[in-house]
Amino acid sequence: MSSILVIGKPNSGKSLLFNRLTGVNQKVANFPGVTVEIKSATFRKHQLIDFPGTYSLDPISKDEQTAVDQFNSYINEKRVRGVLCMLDSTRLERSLVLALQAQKVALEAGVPVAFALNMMDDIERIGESVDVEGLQADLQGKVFAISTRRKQGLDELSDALDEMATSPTSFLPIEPFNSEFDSLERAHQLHTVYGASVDRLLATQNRLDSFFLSGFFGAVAFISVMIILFQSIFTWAVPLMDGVEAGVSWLSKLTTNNMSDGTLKDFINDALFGGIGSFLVFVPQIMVLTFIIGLLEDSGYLARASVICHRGLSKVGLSGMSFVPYLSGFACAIPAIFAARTIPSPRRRLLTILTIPLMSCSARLPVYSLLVLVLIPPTKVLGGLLDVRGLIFFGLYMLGIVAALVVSAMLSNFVVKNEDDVPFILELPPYRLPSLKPLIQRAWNSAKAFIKKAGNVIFAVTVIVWVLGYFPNGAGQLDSSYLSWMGKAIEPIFSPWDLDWRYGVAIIASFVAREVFVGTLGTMFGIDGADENIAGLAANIQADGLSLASGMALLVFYVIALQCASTLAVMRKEVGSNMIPIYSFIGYSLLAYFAAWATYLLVL
Amino acid sequence: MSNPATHTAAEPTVSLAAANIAGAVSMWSVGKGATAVVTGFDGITDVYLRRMREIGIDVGAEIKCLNRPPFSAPRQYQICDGVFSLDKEIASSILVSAI
Repeated sequence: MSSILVIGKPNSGKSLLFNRLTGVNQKVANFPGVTVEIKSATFRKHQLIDFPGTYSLDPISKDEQTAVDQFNSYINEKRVRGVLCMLDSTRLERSLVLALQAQKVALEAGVPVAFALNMMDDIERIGESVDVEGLQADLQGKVFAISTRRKQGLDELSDALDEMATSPTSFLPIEPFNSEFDSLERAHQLHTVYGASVDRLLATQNRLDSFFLSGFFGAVAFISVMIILFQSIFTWAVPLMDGVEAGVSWLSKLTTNNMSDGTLKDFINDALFGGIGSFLVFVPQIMVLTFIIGLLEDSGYLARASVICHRGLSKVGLSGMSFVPYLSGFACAIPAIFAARTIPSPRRRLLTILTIPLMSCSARLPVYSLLVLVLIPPTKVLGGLLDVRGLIFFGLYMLGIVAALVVSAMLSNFVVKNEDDVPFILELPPYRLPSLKPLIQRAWNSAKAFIKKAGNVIFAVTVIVWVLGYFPNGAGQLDSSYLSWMGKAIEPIFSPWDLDWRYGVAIIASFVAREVFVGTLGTMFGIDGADENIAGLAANIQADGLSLASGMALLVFYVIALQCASTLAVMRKEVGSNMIPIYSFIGYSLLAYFAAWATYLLVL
Repeated sequence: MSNPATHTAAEPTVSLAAANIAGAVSMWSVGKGATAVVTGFDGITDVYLRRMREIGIDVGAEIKCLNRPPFSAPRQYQICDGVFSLDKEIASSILVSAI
């Protein structure tokens, strides 16, 4: 299959163009370094290959190194029929540096180059223009003025790329190409002659920055944004959660009402609706979390948050650039570990990767939510503005962040040493009003991924737990089941937190995946006869009498424990060591256990 | 772990002495709203010198300080058509003259 390579500087809109042309849903956001892996997808009859953004073909960070190495490798492959260089019309000079370098390399390999001049809507909005014809003539390559956000000029570009992949020679320069130039000087010259003045755009950006990056107001805005993020998980999602819970109960009754009593009915009731159903109740919270993170990403605020955090994070061996991977870690640790590739300093990157598992990922969310619902009564404070449950939620996330900073500071002083440091240079993207459709799409995708996980891993564990809990004596006899026999064997491990064997089983099972904790408890309470309120697991646990001290110990355990095999596998790949993930797993498990014990004693 | 960003002390740098610039101050000391012209570099390795040029910080380039947050937090500079945030370490290594 013929291929076209897409290359450009960070935050030039490559990923959005890639999505528009191929119809896939690759993540896009308004901060530099979103694409850290090479992505490919089918475009018409061809393949489009999207590279991580880089400022030049002289890399300084791992993501740039990946882009450059792969570009140099791909460009000599026979199937590569062309290169599309993304140019940001609002940052034309910076974009041209890489584009000119890539053009030189490509033409030397006999591969034609076209240029997509993106964000032309921003230029038009301020009454400016770019001399596209002149730029095209000077560059000796086709230039297409487009706006990927507004979908302007994409049809013409698509047809041209199709033609380029089919008959590449028609896109090669007609006149001999003079490659004897300094890309920096030539970029400056081309921008001066053909580019637009973006002073008005920058003036707006600078006005907002003088607020968001100022000492007092910047800090207040940052803390407010973080509190709103975690409050919204509770306040916005609750009506939706109630809806899902009612739906699960209704479906449970509808399915089992006309069934005769027996093992099948018990299985459907306890394992399917009690286990999986109680887990699905938390899907709305995952969607709200993903939506808000997306909102922050697309607005351009995240780069400012990185700047605000830099000084503090650098005190514990991290960098302001660690902030974005950390925030991504609230959704999932795996893309967050990949996102750490944008950190140029190897030492700070390693410390970021090692501490990302302490960010409370969405897999912890059902556990937190369940336990907070059980332990904390619904109380409004500040005239109904804030919910105490939301504040506790915020506290749990903060606990993970504080733990990450402490661990990083300790590792920075005692373990990870002797690396020359790399300075902090971060381009601040323009502020943009996020589009609603991609945000909803992203939230929906996260829900689908969550439900898909429930369909395989969680379901498998739930079935095993149900079989062991149901037999040999059937419903209502959990205490004499095989599961009880196994659970009581491990009960002493968790007895210091005053938890009985059922919680011990749920904790051990959740080493497969954290969310299993909820499904396992749901199944066990279902078997034990709590089936009148099958999706209301929180109420069942409350009625069962979980103490505040034990519940808080459980919460602290889940904040710290590293119970995710996929995270360990990605960590191993990214740090190139087998031992680091093993030490991390053991270290975080022990730390989680003893921190939970200490919490129990403190709250008691 | 290997990374191209890992430098050693043996890498060449552009020193203040070599630049031999009289009256130059560091970019870090430029006041908010003030504009200056880059005159040289002090102690930046070749790799970073190249990156500086790629983002527009080159001898003769104009820079404008947009923000000076407190507590030595990174400061914001308008450089050509972009806005960059630089920490004290790197901004102190860039020498400028006030316009």
